[in-house]
Amino acid sequence: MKFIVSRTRVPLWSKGKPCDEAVEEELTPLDYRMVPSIQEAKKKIWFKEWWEGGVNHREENGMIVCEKKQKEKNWVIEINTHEDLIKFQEKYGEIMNLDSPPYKEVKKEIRILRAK
Amino acid sequence: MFKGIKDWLLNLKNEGVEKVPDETKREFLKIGLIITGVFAGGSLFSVISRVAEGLASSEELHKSYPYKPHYSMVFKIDRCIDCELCMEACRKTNHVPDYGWRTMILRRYDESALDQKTMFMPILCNHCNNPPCVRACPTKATYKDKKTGIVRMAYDKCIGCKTCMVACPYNVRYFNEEKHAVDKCDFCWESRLSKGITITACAEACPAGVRIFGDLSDPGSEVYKLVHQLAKPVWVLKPETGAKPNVFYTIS
Amino acid sequence: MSEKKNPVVTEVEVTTFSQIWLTSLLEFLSGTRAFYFLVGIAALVVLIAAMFAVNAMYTGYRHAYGLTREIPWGILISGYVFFVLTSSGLCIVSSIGHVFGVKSFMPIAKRSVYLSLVTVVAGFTVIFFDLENPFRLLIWNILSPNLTSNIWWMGTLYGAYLFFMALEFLLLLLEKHRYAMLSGLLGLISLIAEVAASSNLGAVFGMLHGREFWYGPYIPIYFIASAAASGCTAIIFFTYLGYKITAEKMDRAMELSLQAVGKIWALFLAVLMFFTTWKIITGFVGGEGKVLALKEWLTGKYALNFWLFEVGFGLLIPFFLLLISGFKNLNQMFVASVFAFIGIFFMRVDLVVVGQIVSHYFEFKVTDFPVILSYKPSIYEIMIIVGAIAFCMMAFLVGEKVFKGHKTEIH
Repeated sequence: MKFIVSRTRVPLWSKGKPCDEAVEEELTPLDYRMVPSIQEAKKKIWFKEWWEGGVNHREENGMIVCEKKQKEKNWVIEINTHEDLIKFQEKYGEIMNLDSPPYKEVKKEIRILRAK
Repeated sequence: MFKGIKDWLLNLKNEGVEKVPDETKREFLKIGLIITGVFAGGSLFSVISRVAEGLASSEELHKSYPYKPHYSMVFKIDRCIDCELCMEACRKTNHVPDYGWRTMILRRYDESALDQKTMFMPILCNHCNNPPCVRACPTKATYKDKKTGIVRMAYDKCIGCKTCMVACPYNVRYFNEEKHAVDKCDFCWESRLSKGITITACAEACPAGVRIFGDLSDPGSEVYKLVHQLAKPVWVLKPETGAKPNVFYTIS
Repeated sequence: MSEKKNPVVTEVEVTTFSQIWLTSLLEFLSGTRAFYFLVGIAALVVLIAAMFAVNAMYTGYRHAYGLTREIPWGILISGYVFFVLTSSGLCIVSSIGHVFGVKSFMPIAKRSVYLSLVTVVAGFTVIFFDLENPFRLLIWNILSPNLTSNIWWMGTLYGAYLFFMALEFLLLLLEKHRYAMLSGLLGLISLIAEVAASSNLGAVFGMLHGREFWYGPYIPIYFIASAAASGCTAIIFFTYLGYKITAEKMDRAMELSLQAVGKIWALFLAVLMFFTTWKIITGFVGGEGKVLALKEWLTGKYALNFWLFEVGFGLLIPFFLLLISGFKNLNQMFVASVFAFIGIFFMRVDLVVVGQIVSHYFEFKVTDFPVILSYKPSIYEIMIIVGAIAFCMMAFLVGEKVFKGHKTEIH
């Protein structure tokens, strides 16, 4: 399973990898809007930008969503077993497991509770 | 050693009033009467001279004054009859508009006073030695004249933030629309003193001799003599602000 | 829905600010009625206020404003304090993220930096119409600086802040990683300038030794705490509204961010409560002038301002709403911020006005002035404040549209 990886504190002078295993990947952000249908969204101020900025528009769980065309780069790691997760935690200290900002490829974020 | 101090303390005798010479007693009573006389405003702080409060520091009292000439004004406050000739002279001399004033006569009224219930109190800029307005001005538009100690205005530098008006504990500044700047008393520096006249317009106009203007650094001047004495009370307004005014009040 | 022809652009690499500005401006032109109606209303109010302000400038402030020589500072100074302290607060709180690198504060950073610029400009506009000769300031602030004057430091530092923060905002817009360090550094400089400026603004009041109500070392500290509280208020208020405008689903990072802001806010509200309480209690054992001012504030003409707006709206209601919300319920937190904004404005009004209401010569039993002076803002002063608020709303709305909800995170 893929995780976005981040640190709770990013010092000014180190904007690099949050951890050794991280790889930079281009992710597809999902653009959720709190509107029940695309029909209704047409009246909205952001509709054009939303419509033109993404593909695969659809309705989902009472919201509408599309995949943004503009990808975002993010640091990602892959951890597949519970053991690996524990190992990761032992290497970097305590971690938080959060819902990541919505991406097509990744749903969860691991945040290391320590500045690099 | 402690025993010695204890004995000394226990053997201290009460001096008592009976040992004070009659003359001193009479002087003391006189001061007491004077206090009653100026009670009306309740602003008397002490019977001794308050000159120290007007100076940069008390050490300078008998040494030197920070400016030469050190302009000062002394009010013989009990003489003021509120004729307002001083205000009129000031208006004419310094072109003060009708919405403002550089000097004013306040009317003090105290119902509980034993003698007279009303007293007049002329006020003007105190030309403080530690002026709150000068410190607060962002552009040095108001400044303490290095030679004379007069708090003056450089009108063209005034941005009109009115901080000096808020800073002044004496309410002697106003915004002059014609000058586009804050205006205040300058002891008639621009209109008279700089032209060789030695007295301010208000002091000259006063028919009752309330306003005594002069150089405090000159031991021969009248203001010096009025301030440097102990027989009559001399006080300044709002000494608690630490502004160290150069305008003194006394009684005749 | 007729499928629009989408240009095949996979990676829009925006390199210069002018390009962003241009595309953003064009984006602004596309939109729906309600949004533009609001922008239009705000613009109209700004225009009307500008007419009032210019009119006041030409007729002369003595005629247009309700100010006197005894109370020369009115609600325009209050408004200035309100806006620039909100700006300081936005800068202080958001800098936890974009200067000190705390991840959970990063999502709020861009919007905060933008709004901090907007509010400081609003503040400058308000003071422009309070200064009698604002243009002389530009010359003499440089040619004849008085280094002992807090006003000088405050004005100069806020000017420097505006410059550095604007630069930083440009860098944030460029979203280049190689500028991250520079941007952070600019952020740090802005933060230092801003904190120094707001404490100097406090000292403008705190160092007037002729004014007992203000005098003392605590107002500069109070101003920083109060700024931080206003900043938190503004972040919650505007972020919430921003998400309403774009209808975006708030992601977890932003939620955590607002929770953290909420907690800081509660802390600073508590600080303000203690400050207010002890200011009053110590004041009552102080000089007579201070006691008179406090009495007027708490039980006189300003009692409604104090108890309802300052204490109720500004401190207690937001504090308890925050506690009730558990720092999670954003709707409650937004309501808290609305109350707090109203309350904060009254705090600024009372701070400025109550400091001047005691007559200079009250202890002499002078009949020429009442012991408690009165000040009533004129329609011109009120309109200038309303206009500045409308300007902030307009700039906020336009900003949401132009900068697409300040979405992109600072990495």
